[in-house]
Amino acid sequence: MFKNQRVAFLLVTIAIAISVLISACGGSSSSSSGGSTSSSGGSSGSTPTTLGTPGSYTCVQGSLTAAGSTALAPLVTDVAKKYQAKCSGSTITVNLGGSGTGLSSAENGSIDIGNSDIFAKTGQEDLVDHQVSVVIFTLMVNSKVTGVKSLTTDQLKGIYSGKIKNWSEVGGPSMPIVVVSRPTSSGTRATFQKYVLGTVETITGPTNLTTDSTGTVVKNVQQTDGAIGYAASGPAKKSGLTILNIDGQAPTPDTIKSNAYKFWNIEHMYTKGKPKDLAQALIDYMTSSDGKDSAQSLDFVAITDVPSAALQTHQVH
Amino acid sequence: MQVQQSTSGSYLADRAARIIFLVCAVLLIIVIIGVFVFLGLNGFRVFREGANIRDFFFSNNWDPTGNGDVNGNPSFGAGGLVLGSIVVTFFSVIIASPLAFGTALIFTEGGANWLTRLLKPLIEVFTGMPSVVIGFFGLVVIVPFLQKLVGNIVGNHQTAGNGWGAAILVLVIMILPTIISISIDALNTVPAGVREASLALGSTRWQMMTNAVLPAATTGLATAVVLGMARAIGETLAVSMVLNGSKLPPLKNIFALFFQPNVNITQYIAIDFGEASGPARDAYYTLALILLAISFLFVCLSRYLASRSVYK
Repeated sequence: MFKNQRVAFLLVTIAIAISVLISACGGSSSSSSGGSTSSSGGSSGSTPTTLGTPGSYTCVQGSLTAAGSTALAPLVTDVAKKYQAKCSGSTITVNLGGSGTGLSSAENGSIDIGNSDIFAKTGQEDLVDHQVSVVIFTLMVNSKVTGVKSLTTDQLKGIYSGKIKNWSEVGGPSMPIVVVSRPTSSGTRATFQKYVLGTVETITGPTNLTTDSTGTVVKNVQQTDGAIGYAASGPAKKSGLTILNIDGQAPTPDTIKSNAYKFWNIEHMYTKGKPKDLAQALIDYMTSSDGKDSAQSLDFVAITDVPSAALQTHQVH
Repeated sequence: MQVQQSTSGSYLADRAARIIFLVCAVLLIIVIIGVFVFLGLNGFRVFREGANIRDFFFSNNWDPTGNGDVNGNPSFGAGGLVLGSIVVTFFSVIIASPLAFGTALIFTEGGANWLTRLLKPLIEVFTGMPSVVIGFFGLVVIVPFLQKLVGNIVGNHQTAGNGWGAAILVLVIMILPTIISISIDALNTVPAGVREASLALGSTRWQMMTNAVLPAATTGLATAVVLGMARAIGETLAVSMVLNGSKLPPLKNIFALFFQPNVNITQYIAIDFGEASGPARDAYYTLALILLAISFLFVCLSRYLASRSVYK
């Protein structure tokens, strides 16, 4: 019996050794963006096209797959449903998978439209950016934190670096602050770090929880006393948690249009090269009046309403 | 004439069946070796892209995309993750195995009939329970329970209850039915002669169970433990729901390790892998290879322990 085990052990070791040798001799498949160390790269190399004619739509027959960002998915699904109701003969499927997956699937051609919260990375230059909407992110606090309605940027910097440890230092009850973060690869966290904090979150330790999906973040903030976290505005409002103002600015479409409230992000739909007819029709429809109604009901802001000065501040990394 | 025809026909059927089974077995071997080769090809690439082997295994800062660093530099410190996977799997198997063996012994050595008749369908239902359900149970019941139990001892009261302790409990619940069902089969295949011989020599029932039946069934029990361990080590969603950590806490505080938010390999794979690309994705392939290596080690360990049994 021991001999059989020895044979098996040897076979497996040989397999591993062969794979080490092969990889050391140069490897076979290529990885995307070899060598770049940060996930935010330059712009995709072509000017973003944003609008079709508001209010109009063209009916194209065919089928289409869009996938990617979970934040943008509800809006795309709603608009796609309206489009399919008006134009029979078109079939649109919207899948999830995250912004990164959406971008890479659009890049290798397996889907038609990649929904993304983030800009395409270097190495994905043939993706054409269509900016279709604006998503609002909000800070939420646990219901036990009474009396705190707004936080300044400095206070947020203190909280997210661990210097401010207790809610009493910022006007709340005497309770330790528990920070519910996103993982470091999250696009939402990248937005928060870039546009609100100005630096990275450095808090670690027992007062820091790290969870990924919006639903789990909301649940953790609801369940943990003294917790603060951030998520997209739609789910945050539905959860019934207290929404905070940042620097006295409330998260409304008006403060976003003047960029007084900075915690928002442009939503992209990327296509590989020029979009095919049905894809272009859907992208135009996203910015039509029907698309605007969907956006408002789901707590997005129609990108046509945001002046380009504000849009410029949230462009290229 | 007829006899000749039928024998040649059945001889053909024999050959065909043999070839089909051979093809199946070879395919299986190719798949398994293919997995190893795939992970091996992709898993070593990260070391050429800036990761350092020593840091990978012994430092604690896992940030492969570089977003957590002021300068955007990624760091590949998976020591905490590896330790998390090993500890959580080890303890869950250690706790679940005796419980499972005891339950299996109740089933096979007689004992209360009403109990076994009640338990059998329950265990079958339990084996098929989706892990996300058990994860929810962990998040909503186990974490607050642990928080009440130890919240006053550990550093922070509000986040107490998350961590390796909750993950171990969740995994014990998950792997118990697997180990129980296979142990029952293993104990059933022990020949009656072993039990009779033991009783004839004057041992009590307890002595018979521990000194005769269990050693005789060691290889089957080892298989049960291995399958339970495989389920435990690969468990992603349920474990990530109760761990909720970003980094390994300092090692000197044992309570903090088990009862404060902590990390694990599969937790990070669940959170990050879909969004990762480039060196970060290669780093996750390396983590997957490490997970495979850990489970391989556990399998070897349990096979070695089983091979020391008295009966071969």
